[in-house]
Amino acid sequence: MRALLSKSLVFAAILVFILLKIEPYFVDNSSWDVSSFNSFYEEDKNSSDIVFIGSSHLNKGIDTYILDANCNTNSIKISGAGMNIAQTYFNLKEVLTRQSPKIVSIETFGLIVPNDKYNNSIDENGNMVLKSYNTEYYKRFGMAKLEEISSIYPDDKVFHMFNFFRFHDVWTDVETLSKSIDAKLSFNPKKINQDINKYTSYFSDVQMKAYQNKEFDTKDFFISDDEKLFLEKIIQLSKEHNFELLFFTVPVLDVYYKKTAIGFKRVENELREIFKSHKNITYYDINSGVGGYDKTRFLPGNVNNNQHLNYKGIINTTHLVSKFIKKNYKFDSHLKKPVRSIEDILYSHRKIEKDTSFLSYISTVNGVKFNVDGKAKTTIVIPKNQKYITIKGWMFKDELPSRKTTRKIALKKNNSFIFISKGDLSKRSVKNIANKYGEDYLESGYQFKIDKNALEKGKYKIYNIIESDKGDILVKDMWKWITIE
Amino acid sequence: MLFNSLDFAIFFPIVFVLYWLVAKNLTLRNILILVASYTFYGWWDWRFLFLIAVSTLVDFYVGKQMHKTEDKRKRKQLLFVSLFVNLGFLIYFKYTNFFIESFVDSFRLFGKALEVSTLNIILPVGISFYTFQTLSYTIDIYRRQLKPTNDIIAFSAFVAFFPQLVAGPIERASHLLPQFYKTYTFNYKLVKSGLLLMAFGLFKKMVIADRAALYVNQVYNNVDDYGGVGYMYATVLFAFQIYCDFSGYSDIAIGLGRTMGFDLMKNFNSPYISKSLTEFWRRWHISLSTWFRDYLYIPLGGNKKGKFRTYANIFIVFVVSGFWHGAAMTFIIWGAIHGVVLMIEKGTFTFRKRVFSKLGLDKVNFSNHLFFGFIIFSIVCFAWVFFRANSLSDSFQIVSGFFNNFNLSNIFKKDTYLIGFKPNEFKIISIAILLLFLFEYLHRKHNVIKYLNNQATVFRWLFYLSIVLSIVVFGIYGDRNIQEFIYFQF
Repeated sequence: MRALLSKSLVFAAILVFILLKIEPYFVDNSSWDVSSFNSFYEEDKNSSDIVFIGSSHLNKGIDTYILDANCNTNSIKISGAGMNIAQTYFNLKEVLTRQSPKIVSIETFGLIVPNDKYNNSIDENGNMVLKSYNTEYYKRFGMAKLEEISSIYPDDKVFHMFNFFRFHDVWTDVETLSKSIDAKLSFNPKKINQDINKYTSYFSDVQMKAYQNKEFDTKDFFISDDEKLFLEKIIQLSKEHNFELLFFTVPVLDVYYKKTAIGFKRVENELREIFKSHKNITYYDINSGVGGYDKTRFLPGNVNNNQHLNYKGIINTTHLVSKFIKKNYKFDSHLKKPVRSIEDILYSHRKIEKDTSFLSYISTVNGVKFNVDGKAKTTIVIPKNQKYITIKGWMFKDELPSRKTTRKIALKKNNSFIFISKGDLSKRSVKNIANKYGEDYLESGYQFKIDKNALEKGKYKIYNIIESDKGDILVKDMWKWITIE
Repeated sequence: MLFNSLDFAIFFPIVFVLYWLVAKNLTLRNILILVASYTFYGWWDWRFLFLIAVSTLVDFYVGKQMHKTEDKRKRKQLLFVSLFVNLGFLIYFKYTNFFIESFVDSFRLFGKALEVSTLNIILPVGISFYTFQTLSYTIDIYRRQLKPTNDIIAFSAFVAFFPQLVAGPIERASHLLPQFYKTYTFNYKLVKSGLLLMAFGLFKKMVIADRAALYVNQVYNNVDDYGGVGYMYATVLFAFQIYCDFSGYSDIAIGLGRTMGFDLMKNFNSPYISKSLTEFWRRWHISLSTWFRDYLYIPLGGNKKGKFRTYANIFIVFVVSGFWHGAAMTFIIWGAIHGVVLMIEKGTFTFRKRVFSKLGLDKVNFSNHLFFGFIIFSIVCFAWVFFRANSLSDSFQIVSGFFNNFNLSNIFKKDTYLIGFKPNEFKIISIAILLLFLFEYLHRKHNVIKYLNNQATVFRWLFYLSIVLSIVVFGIYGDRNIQEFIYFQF
């Protein structure tokens, strides 16, 4: 009997170990919200100053690389599609098991917009209403997950607690599974938020007209009792863990905001009423300050309450939030952190060292050369009638073959607007330049095309950037400018 | 409580540990078995524990009184009491509505409509199984083949023994009851083999049977939407579903019994490799077929009263067997098909032997085995149509679909073989069935478990882990609904 019991225990331990090891592969690791959690788990313990939690509006609202460069902080972002305030609470509980942030910042879209799944968080029995989005499954095994699972599936806790039970038949879709495994195995937490939201498309005139013609009902813009309950719980956590709470709203479309401002104001007042007796809570409503954003800052989508920012909108919003944080909070004990991103270099006035082994050249902007007949000029003006900007250039770093690098371009207007291109720049044939520098550089020409509306008006300095596959970042100040009229 | 449920996963280890802690104290051990068994059954619906308790008390009392008296008339009266109570419960709960409907239908045949509604009766899980088990006790005492027990606790535990309470094997008192008078010492090898058998049963149930059910239910519950090829796939899959479902249950039951030192009878012995229907019934639901042989076929005269009576007895036994399975004409027809084919087999035995001899089909070789195996499997599948169909009209539609609506080009079409399945599930079930057949084939020739036990620990543990992991990953459970064991309804 003793032998059986001891062998059973060993067997069970091995089985549990294997199951917990394979557990992360049962959720779709290629999705951005799962990655958001994965990157959180990769962070060092107690290394974060600010934790952002929220829905897709947060994901496409704040770029933590820009914020950290601006504020000299280390921030993390946990976002999940459609995340409501109840889920925010449980996600915050999970965060607090690994981090002790100074500020927890919660994006409030889920509290404002009228929708059953946001306003009715718990049913008549006190159980959380089943969600269409499953952030509970992205957490690792632990008390926070158990508490959340128990509140959603009180009769089926074990099944929902473990992803290898809940999603055990994921293998039937082999294509998705292999994508997920590949995403998990090649996952790089440092890259996760860097490139995924750099979209430059925006609302069309047809969609804008539809927004202008559509009426939006604001009578359901209010904080429900369920939401109040979870807000109180979050406040309670803030006292227990001694952190500041910053609630903010990512801007919405200006046309839409004009029609719904009364609803936004109502929610703001209700929130302020809840927060007024708590000194550690701040509410920052960006919309009332800026009156919403224009169409060039939003990704095109359906004409409804739900608008997501594009890269331009993200840059603007992150700057506003950075400014607010710098003004209202102090990070006394924060040490100077190492360079983690291109943003760290470009935003923080770090001196860009001259590197003679970084060979680089800008040949044309919209077909216009910087150097004509021996006369060099430093600025090319993009006239109003030109919709796109096309920059052609070349870059190469000695001892770093092109195939082992990602080449980017940055356009810096000032410290409040820096556009950094997404992914590797597209290649072009550069025979004339190759002749100049030799055959080895044949693969080094690039071409970068962007809709002018993805940028703001003004004068931009151009930077060429090379990222090595080992994570080294090399920035070259080209001392060339473009001016967008 | 279902064997493939979390409740049972918690229940069993607790009972197992408590059982071996009190194993040496017979009374305490039997009390524990009784309490565990009543908990197991009451988990589904505690009200029906009353039926088991009444059956137990009546048969215990009847058995004792019958043994005491030499008066034949009184013995018959006592047997009648036992039959009346046990079969009374069975008939009331299982067949009342069938009789009412048949009564109304028969009037409708003569153009008269009766305004009689059926009763709202819940069928107690496993009533057919424990009824037959307790009946065997009183009948054996009546025949003086068994002495009654004086131990009410042991007898109650025998009737309600949870491993086989709701779906068999239907044990004979002469085999199982004496095991409740013995104490057992813990035998590591026996317990391990029991656990392995349970895992094997769960694999059959959760990976094969419940997966096949997805396809089968889709087709059989929507007969109008599909054609001949869909019917064929569904019927073949049902053959595997019911086999893996029922034999899986039996494996778990036998394995469970083994972990507690009990020896339950073998209920299945690779039935789909039978070369004749007679052989099939020697391998399929052995505990029920031998029950019918001993308590119906032989009392009817068996094969001792001439050819006609022999054929008639076979037919009667199989029609009753069909009726035992379910109160519907479809089950009766299923039984009748088996009865008729068995009659033909018996009647043409000499003729067939002569013809087969001339054709070389009587030799024992693989091709002959395959040929006859295929024929018997086809006949069994044909009969399964009636067993599974929701109504008589559905079963006729399916059978006619085999002949009138069979488009060969649909066999390899995804739309046909993926009905109710997610991508790749057809591949998985095919591989799992092949593995099952391979295992059974090998197990007939060699003792696979013994072979496994001779392997290195690492290999054995890898094998155990892969069984459990394959159940976790490839099993059907959770959102796709745990399927009850099919034989629960009987």
